[in-house]
Amino acid sequence: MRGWSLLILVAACKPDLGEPASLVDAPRFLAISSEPAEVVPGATVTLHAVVARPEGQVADDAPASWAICTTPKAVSVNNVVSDDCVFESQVGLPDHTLTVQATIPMDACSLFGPDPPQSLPGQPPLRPIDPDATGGYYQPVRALLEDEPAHYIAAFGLPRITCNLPDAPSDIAIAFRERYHANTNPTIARVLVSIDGATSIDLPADVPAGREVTFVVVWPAAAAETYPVFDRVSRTLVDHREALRVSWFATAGEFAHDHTGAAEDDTSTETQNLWTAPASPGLVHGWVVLRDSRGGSDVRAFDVNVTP
Amino acid sequence: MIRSVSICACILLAIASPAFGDDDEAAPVITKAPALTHFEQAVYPPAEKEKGVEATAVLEISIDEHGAVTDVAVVTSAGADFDAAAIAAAKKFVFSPAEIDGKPAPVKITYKYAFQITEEMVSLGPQINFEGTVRERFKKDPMKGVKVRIVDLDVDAETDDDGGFAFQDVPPGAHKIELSAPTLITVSTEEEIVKGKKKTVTYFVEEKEQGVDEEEVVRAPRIKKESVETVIRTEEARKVPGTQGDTLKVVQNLPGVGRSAFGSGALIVWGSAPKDTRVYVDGVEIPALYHGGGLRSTMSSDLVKSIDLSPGAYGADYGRGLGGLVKVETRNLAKGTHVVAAADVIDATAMISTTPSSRVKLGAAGRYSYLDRTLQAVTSQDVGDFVPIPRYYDAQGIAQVDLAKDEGVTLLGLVSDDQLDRTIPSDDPSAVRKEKTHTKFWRALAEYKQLFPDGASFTVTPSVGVDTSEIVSSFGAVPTEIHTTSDRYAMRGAYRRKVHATTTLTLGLDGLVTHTRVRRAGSITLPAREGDITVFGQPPGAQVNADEWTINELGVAPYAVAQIKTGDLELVPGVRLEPMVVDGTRALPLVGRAPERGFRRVDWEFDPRIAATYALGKRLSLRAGAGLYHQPADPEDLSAVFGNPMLTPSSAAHAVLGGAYKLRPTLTLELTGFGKYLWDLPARSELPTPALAQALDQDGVGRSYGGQVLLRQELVKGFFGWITYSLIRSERRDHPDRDWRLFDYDQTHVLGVLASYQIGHGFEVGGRFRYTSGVPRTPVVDAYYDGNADQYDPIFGAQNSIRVPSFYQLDLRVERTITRPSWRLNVFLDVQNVTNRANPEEIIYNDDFSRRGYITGLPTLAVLGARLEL
Repeated sequence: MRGWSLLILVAACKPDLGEPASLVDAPRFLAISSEPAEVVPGATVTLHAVVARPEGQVADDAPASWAICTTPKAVSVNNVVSDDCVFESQVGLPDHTLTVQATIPMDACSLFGPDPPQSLPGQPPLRPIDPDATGGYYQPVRALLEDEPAHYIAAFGLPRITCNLPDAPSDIAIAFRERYHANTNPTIARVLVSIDGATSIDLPADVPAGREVTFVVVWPAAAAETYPVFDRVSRTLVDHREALRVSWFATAGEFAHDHTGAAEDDTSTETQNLWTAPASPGLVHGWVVLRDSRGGSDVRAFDVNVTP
Repeated sequence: MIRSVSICACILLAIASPAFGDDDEAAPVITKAPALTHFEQAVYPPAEKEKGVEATAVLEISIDEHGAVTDVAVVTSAGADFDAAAIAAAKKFVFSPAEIDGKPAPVKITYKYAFQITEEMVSLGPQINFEGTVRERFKKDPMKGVKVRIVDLDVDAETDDDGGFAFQDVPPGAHKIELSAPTLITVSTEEEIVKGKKKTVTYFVEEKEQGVDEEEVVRAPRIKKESVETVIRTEEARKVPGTQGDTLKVVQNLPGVGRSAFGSGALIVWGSAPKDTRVYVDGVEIPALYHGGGLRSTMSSDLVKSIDLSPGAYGADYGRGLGGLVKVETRNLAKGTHVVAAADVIDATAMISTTPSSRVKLGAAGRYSYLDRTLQAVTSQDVGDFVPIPRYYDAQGIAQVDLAKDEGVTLLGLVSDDQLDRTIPSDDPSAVRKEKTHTKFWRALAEYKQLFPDGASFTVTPSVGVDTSEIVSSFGAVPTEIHTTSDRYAMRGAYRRKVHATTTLTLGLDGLVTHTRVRRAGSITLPAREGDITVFGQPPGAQVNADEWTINELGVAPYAVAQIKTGDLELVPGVRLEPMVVDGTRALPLVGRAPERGFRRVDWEFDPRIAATYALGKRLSLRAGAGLYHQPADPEDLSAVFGNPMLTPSSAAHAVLGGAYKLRPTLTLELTGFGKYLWDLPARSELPTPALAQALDQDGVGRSYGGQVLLRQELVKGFFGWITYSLIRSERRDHPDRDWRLFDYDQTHVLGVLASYQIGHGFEVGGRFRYTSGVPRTPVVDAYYDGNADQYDPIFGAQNSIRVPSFYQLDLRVERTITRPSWRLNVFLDVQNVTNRANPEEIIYNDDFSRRGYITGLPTLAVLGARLEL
């Protein structure tokens, strides 16, 4: 028995879809943070939208409109909110800047959480909303920004809401309430840059045009919190540690990765990314957004002076 | 029987009037009537005979006292020619003398002379009353030297140069006929000889495949129950370009079969969902015809005798499926010891068979893949990212035992295993993708067949098997885990016999017991379902849950199929009763520590089906078929968390109408139109908070309709090929208040042109061209930013309102076969996509959905392989 084989492949399969997500070449939202990061229904949070444009960050007092979503999405939808929340089914907020105060509706855990609305008499009970992998539920709040006349860009902030654990055994639910602590926003300790392998320095910094440099984002160890999750397979409480994720943005140049971070089992307190400075000198605006897996976030802006 | 002319004559009135004068004496009494002692046949007037005219002349015949005719006069004319003929004949009549008062006397009688054209039996000595021709099944060539034996009479004849044979004076009644020859698979059938009628038949017999010189143990006459069926011979299938010698992959090129995207291996038949089409090997269902990616079939080609595809409206002996039907028949093993080994860039395969005794044949085959490693060596990581290449193997073992003449058992074992384990690493923890899938099935079956002396047959096939499927994946922080194990116990049996000269009846039972255990955790929306609105690569929804449940199903389906042949019309009505007991462990999700509550119900389904064929002459035949079909809910859909335990079987009605015209004995043009309507289809609930345990509802309906054309040249003089075009539209409506939408797998136009030719010196060349419409997709019209996930979510336009661009591809194949007395070597070069067209397979977007591109399929792929037979 003998066999021969030969394979000829002459092309790849992946299309080129243009600029990376980390390049800010048009007005865009970078983050919507909530302070506190997690609240009970009825509590008030401060929502802050970070918006960037090629010229730099948009001022906090720029006009924007906000609305609280009142319609949950269908079970089958992959998107974070229902289409109804994009176009209608909202309750507007009175403030009209990038920073607003919002009171989480009292029925948030009913609409977006595990306490389903009462079914009609004679009808079977309704299915509760499922949690995400961290056991969390979120109240969508829409922000709308007019980036050019009569054209708007939309974004959703999702403050985490503290709800019951209705389908767990009572002893588990009690233990959960005792052990669970509402999420807090992570914080960025430092943003550094290392040029030609030299010791990292704080920003702002001068970077030669076309040069590859390494950015480093550092956070305190406490940024990654540990929290219990009701595991629906084992029907027990299981402790998880937050994964941390950094989104990188710049108005010029190119990052090697749009996102970096530390997975749940990664205890490191920093992440780094390679950035190639643009060929033309000038001021480059940059941002890093640190997010934890329970919806908390922190934003740090920086500038790089690209030199000839 | 000959057609003849007869003239019926009778004396209407014994005596019209005595030949006496009036007197006063007492009236004379006829004491003896004249009797005709010599009848003269009248000459039927030729012109009238030619025209088929019949007539009756009434004559008055005068008879003297000696019985001689003295005069003939016409009382009622039948026309001049008839009158003259009747008179001429009547004048030659001779009677016995009539007597009046005891003495011979002259009389007159009235005589009715009828001219009639009748058919009458005329014995002309020994007659041929059973004759026919034997032809090769595929090439249609006449077969010389075939022994045709009437078993019960113990007489035989041998076919002549034209394949003809004849028997004289075969007694009326049913006779078992057996055809045999050294190069043939022995076949048996039954013929009904009717008194006075000559039976003329044509038998199409199949030559043994190379190396096979044993008689087939049992071969009952096939009953064609499918209205539309395409049967492909292994010999042809192996040479189809683009299949790399894999016999079963030819199904992808048959009419009515849509093209599956690279990496899916799905069978899309007449607009049906892939999971709705059933695949059977020797009557036992297997879960997949192809390994993952559709690269190879799950069974060795060297054990396959034929593949039948019925896209719809099939007979009542199969059920539990809404789509098409694929039947794979294993072949008879060759006598002696044989080894086949083959290898190419995709995998390596081997088969060995041996004959330890005159009544037992054993065989084993196996295949092992290595394409995943080959691709890693020669191409970019992107290919593996977008086109998962599984690692697979399959193995088969077979034992064929002749218990007696016309009685045998086949034991068959099948196992197939697919594994895919890949991680797409990323510095972004939410972008790390892990995927691990493992699907496996095995079957063990014993098929017992017996053919009785009266031509009846009995088949029973018990089988056992296990299907396992594991999907473990994570898309960033969203995990998905599904473990499914299904134990299957099946029993299929059928008894078939001729119950009337025109009718053959099959009574059967199709039983299936399954015990399925499912454990699922993670994403609600993964894996995606048909009808989900999403885009390729979109992360699943963040919501997760978990459930673990068991489903037991018991189905015992009795069925009956009749084949009624009257003249040119053949009707095959059938009926199938499908009761199904469904027993589940969880009717509702678990809450707290409350004990789980199960459910049990019985679903009754009744599926009448019919097929009809009408021969309009020797070349043209018309076909039609219709039927009801039901399919039990997928056990994975009966989850109280992810599905709906109360789902009942889905339903479909099929109808087909078509015809076939034989342009030449081996060249056929087929035209078929079809329609399918489906209802009670499960679909995801569109409610944000549906009723508990009703994440799926059952309001969906579907329809697919269209037509297909097949121009097929069967293998003759080294050439075979076909041109097929299908025009199909398939739509679904998931909920009553929704509009109809295109089915996710809809492909309006499917064109295939395929040809292979033996150019001599062992060389053979072939080509295949395929064109298909792109599958529908839902456009993205805008997007918004998710501030938590730092990603854009799409805003969709009308569902399935755009399509992936059309696909077309040209494949070529060149092979050389070197044959020696003890071995045969086949070397082939199979080049796919010779024009290196970048065929779009999927639509992909950039991160904010402002740009759209296409993932393209494999570029030019040249596969060089070899196959050695010992």
